[in-house]
Amino acid sequence: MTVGALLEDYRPTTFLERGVAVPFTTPLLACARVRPTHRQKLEFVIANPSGGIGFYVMGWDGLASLTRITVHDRLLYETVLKEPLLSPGTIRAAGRKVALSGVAGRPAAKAAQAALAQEADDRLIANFLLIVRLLNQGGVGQIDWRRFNPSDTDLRTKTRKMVERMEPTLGAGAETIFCWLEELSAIVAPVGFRSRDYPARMPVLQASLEKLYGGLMSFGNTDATEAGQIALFAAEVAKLTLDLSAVTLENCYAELDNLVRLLQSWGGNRERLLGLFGRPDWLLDGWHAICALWDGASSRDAQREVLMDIGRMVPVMPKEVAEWVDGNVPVERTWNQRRWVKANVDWRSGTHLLDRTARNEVLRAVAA
Amino acid sequence: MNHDEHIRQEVERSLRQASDRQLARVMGFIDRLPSRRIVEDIVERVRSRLALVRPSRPLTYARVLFLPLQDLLAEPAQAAGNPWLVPRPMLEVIREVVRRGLSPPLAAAVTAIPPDRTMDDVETVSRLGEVLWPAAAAALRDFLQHGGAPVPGWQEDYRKRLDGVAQLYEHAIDITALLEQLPPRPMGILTGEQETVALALLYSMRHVSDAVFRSCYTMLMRRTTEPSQIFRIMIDNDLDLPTDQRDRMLAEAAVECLNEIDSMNTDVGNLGAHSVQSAADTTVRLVSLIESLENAPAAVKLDAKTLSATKARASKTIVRTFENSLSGEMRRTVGDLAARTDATDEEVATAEAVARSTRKIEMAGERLGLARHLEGVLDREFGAYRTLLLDKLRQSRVGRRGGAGVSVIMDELRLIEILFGAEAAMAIIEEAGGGVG
Repeated sequence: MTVGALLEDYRPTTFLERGVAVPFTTPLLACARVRPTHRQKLEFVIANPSGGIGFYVMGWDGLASLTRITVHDRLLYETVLKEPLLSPGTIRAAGRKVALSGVAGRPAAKAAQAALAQEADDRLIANFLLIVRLLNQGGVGQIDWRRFNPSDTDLRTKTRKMVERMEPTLGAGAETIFCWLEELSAIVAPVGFRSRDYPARMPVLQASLEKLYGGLMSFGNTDATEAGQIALFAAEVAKLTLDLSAVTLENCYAELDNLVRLLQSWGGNRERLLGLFGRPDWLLDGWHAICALWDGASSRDAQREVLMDIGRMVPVMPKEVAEWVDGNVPVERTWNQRRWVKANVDWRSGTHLLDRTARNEVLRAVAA
Repeated sequence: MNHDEHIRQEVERSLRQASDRQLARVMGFIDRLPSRRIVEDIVERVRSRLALVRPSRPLTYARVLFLPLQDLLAEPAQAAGNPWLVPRPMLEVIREVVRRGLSPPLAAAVTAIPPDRTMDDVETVSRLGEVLWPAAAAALRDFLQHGGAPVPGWQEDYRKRLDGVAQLYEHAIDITALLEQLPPRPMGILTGEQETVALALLYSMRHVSDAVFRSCYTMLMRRTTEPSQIFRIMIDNDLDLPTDQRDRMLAEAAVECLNEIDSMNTDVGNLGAHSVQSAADTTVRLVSLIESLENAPAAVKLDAKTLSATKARASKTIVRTFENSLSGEMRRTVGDLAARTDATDEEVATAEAVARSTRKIEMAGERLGLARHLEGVLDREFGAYRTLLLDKLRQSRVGRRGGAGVSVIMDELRLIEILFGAEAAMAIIEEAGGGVG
């Protein structure tokens, strides 16, 4: 039975071609990435589950014939199918929506609830900080932002008079400026500011990745088993991802250094900025689950165990990244290096799948 | 009730249905007790789960001292039939003999361990072992040659075993370095690289002494749930072993495996009544052992009839245990959840853990060819569970316009999914009107 195509030499050109990590709970799917097809469907890219070289590309039906898919994943797939645009952000939202129903367990539902609230808070704070920055950079006066409550939904009324003074400079009315800032705050919120005014999602994830890198290096340098090799490989890709994400974050912060200029060209620059601010998310996509998996492994044996999965989850770096950071990126080393599997482990069925599904549900609660 | 009895009861209650995380926490508490002896028998009951959960254990002098022996430890009755095993009570004798034999500076050096270290700290464990194990070997040798003051717990039949232990300690640095590269107990199928490590262990110890070689072979056999893989390593490689001796070793190990299966089978029958989780873990290991023995190389000369009878006994126990859990504890749990609206997160998590264990017993049974029997049990039981859920849904909709959604029975639905599969849960969702969001 043919369930999918095997790509031995898998080198995605773009991040979209690499696919997005989806928080599935079925063990086989949890290591997969999803990408759109020409026929407005989805296909899954999965590191060869038999442990051989390469990646399998297959559709939902092919997967369903290979493994027992959880109710959560069936619902998540249906939800993702309805998404007009596939990105780490839209997948995250779809994942939270499904988790909220409780189908991945109570902890995952609570975590989704908390993550949604956190995201809304971050957006409010980002909006507030953007207003403050704009006014400060526009010379309207230094504002002591500590006098304001960022979660105050009446912020617009309170700052309106000051923003009106920026109308001539920005060539737009106050209402339009507020709309621009709100739109901008949606993409700035997860990235944050260079000044680290609040723990934004991407810098926090970067810090987790930094910690993961240290843990993997320390494990890999003291473990003579196959798990040690996987740890060093994953650490190498983690380091590369850290370096590249730092560059993409800095590019975002540079744009925010001159908000007046940014908003003056907002109309013509909007699409470019949406792409620019989305880059750290694409780069770090998939690492949140890996960090949570590693953090959850409390003993050396448990670490060896999870490294088998981590080896298959480490994202391949697409060629597109070189354009993002204006330079040579040593991605060649991180292509098809993975070839690990616990020999003859039945990855389609068996009692260990129950434990792994439960573990993936715990991940949903940690990495919501 | 005295203090010790109180602790015993607390530990027993905590361990009975503890989730993996809770189990790790309770073991952390036990590790901090001044003496584990008061709860040793209770810990024994969850030993198989501990082997799977593998919580980090504090680094102590005793753990490092006994590390090279860990795969050989057995209850006295089991050890009686195998001269290479170390009966647990003998550990106290070893500890005492080594304590007397260590020079004061050495004793001070190996017992001064920072309190926050765990046995996962491989470097510290190796560093301590490099000092302690050769010293332990010397102390045991000296005791065996020259005797000394009586040692509490000493039994004369320990003498030969102690000699074997002394030899093991002499080579413990190499042995533990190799074993460290293998998965812990229960050790499944080895990768090619790990198989090479197992072979290196046997090969390197083959000419050290017969006792050390036999001990290492016993360690691998006791660690694995795939004995046929170790048999093949013995058969396919030139270990410079006379064929008759090798075949005898294979046959003895196969008999030990069969005895182990019977002993586990009894455990499953007993454990099923008070800990489905322990019963499930033991069932999974038991089934792996049977499967592996069914594929044993011909040179093992395993008696097919004996294996078949052992398998039949195990099959009967598995079906009975699964049926009892599904129609008993599990159904009561789902019924209890369905009757309440105030179940705590912890209660739900515990119910899910028990459901997973129940399903593991069924999945393990499938591997023994029991699918038809087990599916029959599932079919018989599903109706009762379905009724429980739909009744709850109906009741929750009484007096409501628009009706309550599936979310009302989400906790129970998850249990259905774990026990009966996603299709069964989806069928109930459909019946309830679909849509979970």
